[in-house]
Formats: sequence, structure tokens, C-alpha cells
Amino acid sequence: MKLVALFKDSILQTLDCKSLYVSVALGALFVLVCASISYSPMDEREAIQGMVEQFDRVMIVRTRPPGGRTFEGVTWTVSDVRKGSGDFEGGYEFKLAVSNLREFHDLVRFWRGVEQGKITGSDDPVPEGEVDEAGEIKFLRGKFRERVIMKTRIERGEASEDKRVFDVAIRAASPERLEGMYQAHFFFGAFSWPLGVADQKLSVAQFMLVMQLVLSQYVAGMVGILFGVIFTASFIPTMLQKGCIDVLLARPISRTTLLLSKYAGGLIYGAISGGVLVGGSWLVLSLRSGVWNWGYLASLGTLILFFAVLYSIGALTAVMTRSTIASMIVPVGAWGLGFGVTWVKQTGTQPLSPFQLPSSISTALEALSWFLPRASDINVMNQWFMICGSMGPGVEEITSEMGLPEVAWIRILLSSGALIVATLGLASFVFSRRDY
Amino acid sequence: MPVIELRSLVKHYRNVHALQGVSITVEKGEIYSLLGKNGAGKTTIVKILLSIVRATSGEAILLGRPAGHVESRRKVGYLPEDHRFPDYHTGWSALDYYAALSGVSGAERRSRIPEMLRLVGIEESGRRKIRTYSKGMKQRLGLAQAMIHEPDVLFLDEPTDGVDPVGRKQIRDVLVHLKSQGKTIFLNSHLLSEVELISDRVGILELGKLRREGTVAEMTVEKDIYELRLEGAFDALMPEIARRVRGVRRIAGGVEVDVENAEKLNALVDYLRANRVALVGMTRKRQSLEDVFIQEVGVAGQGA
Repeated sequence: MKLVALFKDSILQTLDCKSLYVSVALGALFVLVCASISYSPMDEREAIQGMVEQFDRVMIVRTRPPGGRTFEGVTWTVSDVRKGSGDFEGGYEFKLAVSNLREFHDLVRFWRGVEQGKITGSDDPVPEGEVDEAGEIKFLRGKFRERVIMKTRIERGEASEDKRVFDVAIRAASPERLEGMYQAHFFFGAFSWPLGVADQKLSVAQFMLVMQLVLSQYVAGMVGILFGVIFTASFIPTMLQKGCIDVLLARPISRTTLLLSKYAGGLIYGAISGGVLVGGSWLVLSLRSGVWNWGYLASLGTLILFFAVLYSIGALTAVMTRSTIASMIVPVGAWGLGFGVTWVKQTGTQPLSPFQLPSSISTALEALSWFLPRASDINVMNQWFMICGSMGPGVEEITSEMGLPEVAWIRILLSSGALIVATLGLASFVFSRRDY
Repeated sequence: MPVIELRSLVKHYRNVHALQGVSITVEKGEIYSLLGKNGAGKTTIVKILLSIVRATSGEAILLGRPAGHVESRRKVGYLPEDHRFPDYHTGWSALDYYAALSGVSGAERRSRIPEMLRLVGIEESGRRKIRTYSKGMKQRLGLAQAMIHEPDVLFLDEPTDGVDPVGRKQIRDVLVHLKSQGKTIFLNSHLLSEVELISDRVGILELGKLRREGTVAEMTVEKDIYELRLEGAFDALMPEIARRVRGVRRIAGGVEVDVENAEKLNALVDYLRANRVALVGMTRKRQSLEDVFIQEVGVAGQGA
């Protein structure tokens, strides 16, 4: 009952802020913009043609920055496109003709070299060796897998000195996962845009992933959390005001409970406002596209975790200073400092970095980062959730092939949890011993 | 068993000695008022009893338990001086909030809140935001929140501060009503005339020390000063009267005399009657509480 009362008090305090209504209105507008996006199918042959034309580019993602090489001499021609049947129901069957065999085999060998880790730069020479039928098919299958088309049947048909024709059957998890298959309409059809940037065609799922990454990392992850820190910064200082805290401390409730309840109130506020933004945009984007990326919804958890870290720093600041302004500035400052420390540490330990950090400094920065919010770790977790959610089954294999950064779950959760416990513990200790 | 018991209470704030060995006992059903200038230590005593402030040394017992015990605080209501209720609350929601924190069930809250708002005279403003309240209305709300959970002991720090005379009378009536229900009231107030009207016992605190303590009657009586109402030609006797007492002052219809003891008083009366001056009335003089207070703490810093 007491906890409910404290939470209701936090809600009333929040609802009393006029700026909250502005942010809710902006959030609602944002969700409305998401709801205005719809998709319509393109011509199937053109879409598949557009997709296979991108097979000539080999990405090298394990290097920083990622690079790649294009074998432009290969010609790709798609014909006899028809709906799939049997195991490929919901997919497509077609003929794929590949011309300029020499260039094609160079492409296959280069791709194989990257896969095997023998090639680490786009200027590396093409490895020597033969490319047989199995090698050609493996390459094509790999290219389809890169586009998250996990089910393929590829048989080589007609073959000549300079041309190969393959009978191909593909089935993605859904048509929305095939690149170039749809165009998007924005603002309820006010203008349309074929999904893709320059030559790079996008599937609806990929487009959604890009949008959701931006939403999660920048809109909710930066602007949303910043708003959350600002709106909740006054919760604890207001409670600690002279004349206000006296009435509360005279009640039969422990100081630690009082502080933690106010903290929880702020956290729930963050969860609700984040939930409205992420949940609302997830729902309308999914309904309009047919792509239900649970990873985007799961990223709400990492956002709340990060907000919890910042808000615990805000709570400690509030107890020490009783100042709303300080409770805004210190968490945001710690956020910026944590970001800066991580950036310097990561950049300074990379081989191609413009500066190199001595190991002692790097160790010191690593130690320091344990006392600061680790925004970059949270971003990595977000990316992992969303990419995994976007790709669906078989994701571990694909993420391994694509060289995505590994998520140090235990370290992230441990460091964030330890920071929350330490700051709240210290705040509670100070609050319990202080005279008011 | 006393409701409040302070034994040699000491509180130091860095270099400030706020309390220097204060001992007070308040029995159940009493209205005890603590008087003192600003900074005398009155609020510190209340805050120690409620564990808002920790004592440096000494003992503070509230309802039989060490000060600050959760069970004791459950039965205590507190109206601090210069209180500030979150202004995003309405009067109703603030009472609901504080009552819930005191463990009052939802059903009880629904019945008690309108009752309390009515008791303190702000029932028509209950649904308005506190930020629209006048100072007097906030004070009334403060009193309501202190009583909302029906506590056994009330600590009231300047309860009538900012309240108009009619409101002050209403608050006084509420306190007297609470006393009649057996509640114990610990009052800090600057309004000595009001304290005098409702208090059973009074303590005067000066620079962290309890200078004087007693019932209002004990405090206000001025020993050995009597007003004598006389008939007859007593002006001519004034030199002799002055010789027989420590002090004498002519007042309308008689004299005011300061005598050493009852024997000397009787001797003076005999002398007057022997000189054909009739004694038609005699009153032992009383002081106002304000007189006593100023006498005890001096006139410097009359904020008290």
C-alpha cells in the first residue's frame, strides 16, 4: 500500500509537468508517422534481378572500417520467374544466367578467401585455384544467406565456356524478407520510394531493421532517455525539500524504502514513457509491414537498464545536493564521460587508430568505465537484439558469418547492476544518516 | 507510563549546541507547550522524537519505545513549521497519500478524508490543487494530514501560523476536542496567549536548556504580590505601608504590595483596619504567560 502510494505520488508529480505532455505529443506524432508507412509489392522479376545484381560485391566486415570489393564484369540475368511450389511454397523459382565466367570465378575465389579469413583487405589479390560446380553453388547459396534467405535449391543447368545457367528456388521466411520486393509509401501514400539506397536494394525487413535501429539508438536511446532524466530529476529533490521531507520521515516507513520507492517511481515512469514510444512504434510498424521484430521490443529492456543506471546516479546526486539541476546535469555528464572513456579506450587499442594508448592507460580507462554508464555496451546489446529479432531462425550462424560484435552479457549486466547497487547503496546510506 | 520522555537530551550541529541536556516528561492526554525564541531548540526536540534528527547523546522515548521506532511513528502525527506539501497534489490526494503512508486502508481513507477536510474547514477546496491554497488553508491541510491516521500523539509546530483569528479559534477547538479524546499534544508555538488558553503544562526553552516548566497556573502566578482593594483614607498611610512591605504601588481603589510572607501580609491588614481602612478585596496577582516568558528569556530577539 505504501509503495503504491509513493508510486502514485510519482505519477502525479510526473503528470503535473507540462513538458511531459509535449513529449507525449511528440511521441504520439512519431508513432503516427510510423503508422503512415505502408508497402506495396514490386514486379517480382525486377526485384529478384535487382537482388542478384548485388552478388558481385564482397563485403569484408571484420576490418575496421568495413570495406569491400566489386566485380563489375559479371552479368546476372534472371528469367522464368514463377511462384515456388512444394518446399518452396511462398517463395520463387527462376533461372539465373551468369556471364563472364572468368570474372565470376574471380569473384567466387575472392569471396571464399574472405570467408576463410585469408583476405582481410579489399586490395588483397584474388587467391589462385579452381572453381568447380560445387564452389559456384556454394557461393550463390552464401549470397542468398547473406540476404537471410535460408532455404535454397540451386542446380546447375546449361554450362558453356563463358556462361552458367542455374535453376534456382528460394524461400525466405516471408516475402517481406526479399530485397527489392516492395516499395514504401510515406505519409499515407503522399510519396513513394522503392526500398533501397543507390544500388543497394532493401527488403522490408531490412528497412524496418534500419528504422528500428535508428529509433532505438537515437530517438528512444538518446532523446528519450535524456527527456526521462530531465523529467524525473525533480522527483527526489522535491521529496527532500525542507518541510516536505519532515512530514514523510515522521511516517512509519524506513528511509531506504522511501528512497527506493521514489527511485522505482522514476524507473516506472521511464519504462512507461519508453514503452509507449518503443511499444507504439513497434506495433504500428509491425502491423503495417508484416515484419514482427521482437528484438526491437526487447531492446526496451536494455533502454530501461541504461535509464536505471543514469537514474541511480541522479538519485545519489539528489541525496547529496537536494538540487534538481544537479540531478539532471550529473547523470548526463556521467553518460557523456562514460561514452568518451569507452571511445578513447576502444579507438586507442585498435591497430589502425591514429593514436595508441599504453596498456596502463587502457587498463585505467577500463577500470574507470566500471564506474560510469556504459552507453556503448548498451548499444551493442540493442543491435544484437534487433538484428537477431530481424533475422529469425538460424541467426547464430548468420551473425557468426557476418562478424557482428559479440555481446559480453555477463560483463554488461554485472557492470550496470554493480553501478546501480553501489550508487543506490551509497545514496541510501547517506539518506539514512543525514539530519533533515 | 509517560507518552514522551526526554532524558538529558543533547544535540550538537557542528559548533552549535542546539540542546544541552533537556529532560521533559509528557503524560498521556496532556497538552504540553514548548516556548522559546527562534533557535532555542524546540523543533530539534520534536525532530529527535520523530528520528528526523539524531540526538548526540541522551535518551528520547516515545510511546514506550526509543524515538524513531516504526511502531511509535505509526501512532504519531506531525505538523512541521514551514511545511511544504507537494503542490501537484490536491488537498484530497495529499491526505490520501499521507494516510496511505501511515498504513490507513483505502476504505478508511475514503471515509476519513472528507471528515478531516470538514473538520479543518477546507472541504470545499479539497479537490483543488494545493498550489491554489492560501497560507491559512495550507496550514489547515497540514493539521488534517497530522490527524488523518488518528494518531495517539500530535506534534504541532506553530499550528496556527498564518491562520486568521476565526481559524485559530477553530484550530484551538480541534485541539481541545482531541485532548478530550485522550490524545497527547506536543505544541511549539509563538502565540503565547493561545498556549495559555489550551495548555496543561508549559516548558520554556532558552539556548538549548529548559529554563522553567510547570502548569500554566503555576507559571503565571506571581508569588507574594497582592492587590488590596481598600475603602477609607489610606493615602496618608502610604509611608507606613511602604515601611512594612518590600514594595508598594498605588492602584485604582487600593494598593499593590509585595510582601515577604503571609505573616507580614496579615500584619499589614491588621494595621490598615486599625487605622479605619476597610479591606474590601484581596487578589494574589497573576502574570500573563507572555510576561513570564519575557521575564525568563529576556526581551532580546522578540521573535519568540
